[in-house]
Amino acid sequence: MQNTVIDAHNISKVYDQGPVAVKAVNNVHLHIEKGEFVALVGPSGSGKTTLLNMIGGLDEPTTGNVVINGVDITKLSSNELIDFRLNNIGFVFQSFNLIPVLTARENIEFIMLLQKVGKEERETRVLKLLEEVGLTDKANAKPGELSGGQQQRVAVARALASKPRFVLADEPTANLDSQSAANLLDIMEKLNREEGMTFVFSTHDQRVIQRARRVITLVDGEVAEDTLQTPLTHAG
Amino acid sequence: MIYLRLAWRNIWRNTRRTLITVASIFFAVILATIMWSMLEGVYGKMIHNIVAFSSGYLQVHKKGYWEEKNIENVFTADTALAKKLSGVENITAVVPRIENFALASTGENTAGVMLLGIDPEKEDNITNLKTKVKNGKYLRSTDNGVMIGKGVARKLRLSVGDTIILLSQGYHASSANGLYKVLGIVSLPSPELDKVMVYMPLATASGLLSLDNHISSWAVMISDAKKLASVKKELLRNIDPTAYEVMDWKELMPDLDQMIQADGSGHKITILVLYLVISFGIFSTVLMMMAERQHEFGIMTAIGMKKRQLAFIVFLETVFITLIGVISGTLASLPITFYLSEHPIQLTGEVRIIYESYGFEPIIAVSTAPVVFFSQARVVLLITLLIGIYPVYKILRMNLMSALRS
Repeated sequence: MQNTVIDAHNISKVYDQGPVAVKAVNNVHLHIEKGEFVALVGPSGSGKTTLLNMIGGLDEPTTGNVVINGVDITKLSSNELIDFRLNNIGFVFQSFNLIPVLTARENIEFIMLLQKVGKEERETRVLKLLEEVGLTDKANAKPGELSGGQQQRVAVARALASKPRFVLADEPTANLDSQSAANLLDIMEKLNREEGMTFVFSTHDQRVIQRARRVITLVDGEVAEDTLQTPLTHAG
Repeated sequence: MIYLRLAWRNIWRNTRRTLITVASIFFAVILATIMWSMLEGVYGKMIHNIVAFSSGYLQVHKKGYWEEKNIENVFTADTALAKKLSGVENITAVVPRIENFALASTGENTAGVMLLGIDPEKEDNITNLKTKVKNGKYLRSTDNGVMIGKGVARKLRLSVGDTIILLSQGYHASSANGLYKVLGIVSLPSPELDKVMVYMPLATASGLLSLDNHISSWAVMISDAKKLASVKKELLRNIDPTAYEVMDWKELMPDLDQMIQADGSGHKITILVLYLVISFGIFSTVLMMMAERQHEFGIMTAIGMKKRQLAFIVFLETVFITLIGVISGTLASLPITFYLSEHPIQLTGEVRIIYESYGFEPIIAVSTAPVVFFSQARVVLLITLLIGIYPVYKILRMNLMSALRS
């Protein structure tokens, strides 16, 4: 139990669309341990992103509850949830979504400013993260001056800056070319292997699926398959 | 600090839009400031011209004088009381005056005039009356002559050195008449006053009207017209209300006050329209910015920024844009206003005639009082604060998932 990071019980999400209620996620149980490298896969509309949003505290399940590190986040108020996300969950979005007016360094530092981390520690951590994602030389570049791959690496660094318990990544490689996607996966895999960081992805991308250690397949909002696999080794 | 940095950089994300918004505030502030300074200047000048040369900002009379304005309602010029009143804050001078209507004649021509007995030195200190002397000399307290308005001189065809006959009713129904030498001719800023004023030293007027040591009023001048109400209140505390009455210029000249109120309303509506221009300029920017950045707001909230922190940044953006517009607009209006203050626009044609008929100096005076500039900055900032409530409200009510999907 101590190693459990995410524990979702019977979660469902129903959208009222006029007379028809659409069940995006239907009665899903999910149990993720610390250090896992999980891919949520499935066709479009299978409920991957909705499930990811619910375990990330971005969206509220219609029924069921999500327990993260022993805290039932479905019972938290809006402000408590924001604080909880800030201190426990790192997010990587499909379209990078960095703050366009801040440099790479500032984007990473921003999260720590919200956490009120001291200046010295912030600077040390920013430099370390930039080094880990291989962008030390781009520290002062704004998102518009970076390639998609570089932006997504900054997004990963930003997600890790708060020292989260796990990182949720929604289709992180969807907008990247093969080389950038491979680089990104290398970085995330290394962080998972060396630092035990838990990653949960939603993805269509075979490159990500092949490298995941656990693959959860969703079909019509339900878990159709949950398999452990040995990831393929890539040269990067 | 991060809030300031983010807000400042955010406003320059769309430089053109920010500059257009700043420009709308800039020009509106310039126009509003100049209009306001003209309003303050024209009415301030108007009030000063008329008030200083006729009633004073306030008058202390014998109780009942205003109801029954005749020479019997005079009072003893108590210098101790005058000294006490002079000590009241914001009072710059308390001068004794004797007022009475008189008939002026040269034998061939006759005209009704306002006879004003003054202490020449004290009067000059408050009205700079000496500088208005166009011909002849300024009065001395020992002179047994008069100084007349240019209009009176024209009407009665008088020059310096000529003699004027004054006929009036003296104290206790005594007959008051006398021959006085015209010692000086003054050109008063108010043409209406210029046509009726006849000045004579207090002692001479007292002798003519057999007033002994009596006067009609203490005319009170103040340093700041805006302090009128508080000075009046203070005066009332310092006199015996059963023996004296205190009246301000609005009570003494209600027509002038009403005219200023009516005329000012039109200008205030114009300024209100300018404020609306500013409001819509800022509001449209806020609306566009809110619409464009919904997704970004969603992301920032998702990664851990509280909505109130986000709302504060957006509010700061509005404040920054406004401050740039207000400060640059105010700075740009300073040289224009000061130039117009030094070189007031001279009115011509019919407008000039209308102004003169009201007794106003036919110029567009401009006030450079700091309050003119501060008041505009204050109003625009207030507008900003009100407009700034909208994004704050929208962000606080933002649905995270809707924002992320937008």
